Formats: sequence, C-alpha cells, structure tokens
Amino acid sequence: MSATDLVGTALPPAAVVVERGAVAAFAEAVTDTSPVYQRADAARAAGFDAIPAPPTFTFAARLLGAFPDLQPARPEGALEVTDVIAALRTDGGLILHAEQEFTYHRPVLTGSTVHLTGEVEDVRVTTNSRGQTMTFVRIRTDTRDDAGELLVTEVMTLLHRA
Amino acid sequence: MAEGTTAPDKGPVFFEDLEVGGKAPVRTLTLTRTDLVRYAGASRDFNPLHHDDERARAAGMKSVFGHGMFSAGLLATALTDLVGVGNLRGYKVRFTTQAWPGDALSTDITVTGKDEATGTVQLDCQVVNTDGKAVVAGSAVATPVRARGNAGGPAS
Repeated sequence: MSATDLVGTALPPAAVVVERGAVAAFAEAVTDTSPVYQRADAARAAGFDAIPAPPTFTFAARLLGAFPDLQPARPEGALEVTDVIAALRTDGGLILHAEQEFTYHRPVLTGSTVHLTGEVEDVRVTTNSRGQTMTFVRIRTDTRDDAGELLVTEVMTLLHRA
Repeated sequence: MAEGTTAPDKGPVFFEDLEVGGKAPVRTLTLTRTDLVRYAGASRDFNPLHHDDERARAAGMKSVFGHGMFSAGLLATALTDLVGVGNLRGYKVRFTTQAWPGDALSTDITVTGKDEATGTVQLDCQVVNTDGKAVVAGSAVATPVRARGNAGGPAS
C-alpha cells in the first residue's frame, strides 16, 4: 500500500454526548479556571445557552462520550486514526503528531449530542535532508450539532518518518 | 487549577484594547506528573509514555513527557483568557519539542494583526520551556468583544 492510497478514507462517524462532568474535568486539566466551564449561570451570563466546551475539547471527544448504543453504522472501509497509524507503520518508522488545527463555527454545548465525521483529506510525501521519507497525513474531523450545523472543523496532521 | 500555575486574574480584553505588537499576560506552569495524569484522565489519552516512567525509558525517553495536546490546551486557555471564552475563531499549533516534568512552561502570545471592519485579531502564540525553546507554536484568530457590542456570537 502506498500512503497516498489513504486519501479519501473515512473515519468511522461518531455521536458524542457532551457531558458537563467531562467538560468541567477537561477545563481543569488544561488549567482553565473560568467559571463559564463550571457554572451554568456564568455560562449564561457569557452569552451561552449552556456550559460550552473548551477550545481543544473536540480533539478528545471521541473518547469522552461516544456511548456504544448511540453510534451510527460503521461504513465499509472506514478506519480509526489508530488504524491509519498502523497502516502507515506497516514497514516501521516513527509517527509524530505534527500539527493540530481548529476552526470554530459555533459553540459545543454540554447537554447536547454532537456528530463527528472525518476523512483523510491529504497525504504528502517528501524527503528530508537526511534522506528519510517524511509522510504528512492530514485527517479532517467535522463536528456538527443535531441539526447538522457545523460547530468545529479540526485537522490533525500526522508525520510518519521512515 | 494545577499546583504551581500562575495566571492573570484580569478578565478578557476588548477589541479596542489590543494593539499590533502587544503581548498577552503570561501564564506559567511548572509541569508535574500530576498535571499529566490529570490530562490523561480528562482526555482519556492513556498512552503510557505520558504517565509511566518505566515504559517511557524503555522507549528511549529520559522520562514521561507531556501530551502535545496538554500544551496546546494550556495555550488555548491563555488565548481565551485574553480574548474571552467563545471568541476564538481559529487556532492552530505545531508540536516542536517535548515538555518534561519540572519544565517551567510559559505562554507567549503576540497580537500580529487587527481588522477593524471584521473585528478580527490575529495572534501568534507559543508555549516555551525554561530554555526559551518552543514546545508548541502556532497562531490564532479571534473576535474579542467590542467596547460597544460584540462583533460575533460565541464559537469557542
């Protein structure tokens, strides 16, 4: 398999319940003491309909509330990020999380269920000065609300060096 | 808040308060293993390289080291402290080096651009270690509240 064959591969879609406890714990873990993440009244005063999630929360969302009974069917050929990594490492090499990018459209609110879809959107293969093959893999994830409105677009860039 | 964190206690600023070349208040954190375990639990990222010294050494590292997304989260906290929760429109980081327990991390945020018409500010941002080396480095776009009325609704 050539890494570029991964372009267009879908990630399994996920439905994620955005729980207040998960959001409060996440905010604490990134040392954010804003009352907006802890108190419904503070969130309302800041203009939110409910307590919002911190900016990098969606990166972890699939692991924080994708309860099995809520998950949509897994499409044929869909790969988890761990499967993509395994595919890149078929012949060894090192995987690094090179970059992470977020575009924010609307807030991710506690008490809601959000819907994640994603795909490998680009693979770029280069050679570095030491003659190593550097493969950059961009994986995009879109997070939407129940109505299908886009909340966050996220791109993870993995680097495979071999 | 994590032990050893210092953070500015001022609220977010208005769009009008930000000037190109201006710096945000610095957040500092002396990284502990507890910080990493707390982030591992909150993000469900239980890669042992971030909490198990034996496994980290077996993988050739001198000890456990921070999740890149922990540093990215710390930096996002400094960004929203400045521009207000809900006012970030975009944020991106590159992961440049590891953060080790005991490292004194500090945030460094600079206003690089400002658009009056859209109420948008551009920022360069990084987390640097004790040696002044970037752990994560990137940029952000935000729409801070205007002194008279908000330019946009909350996003993150």
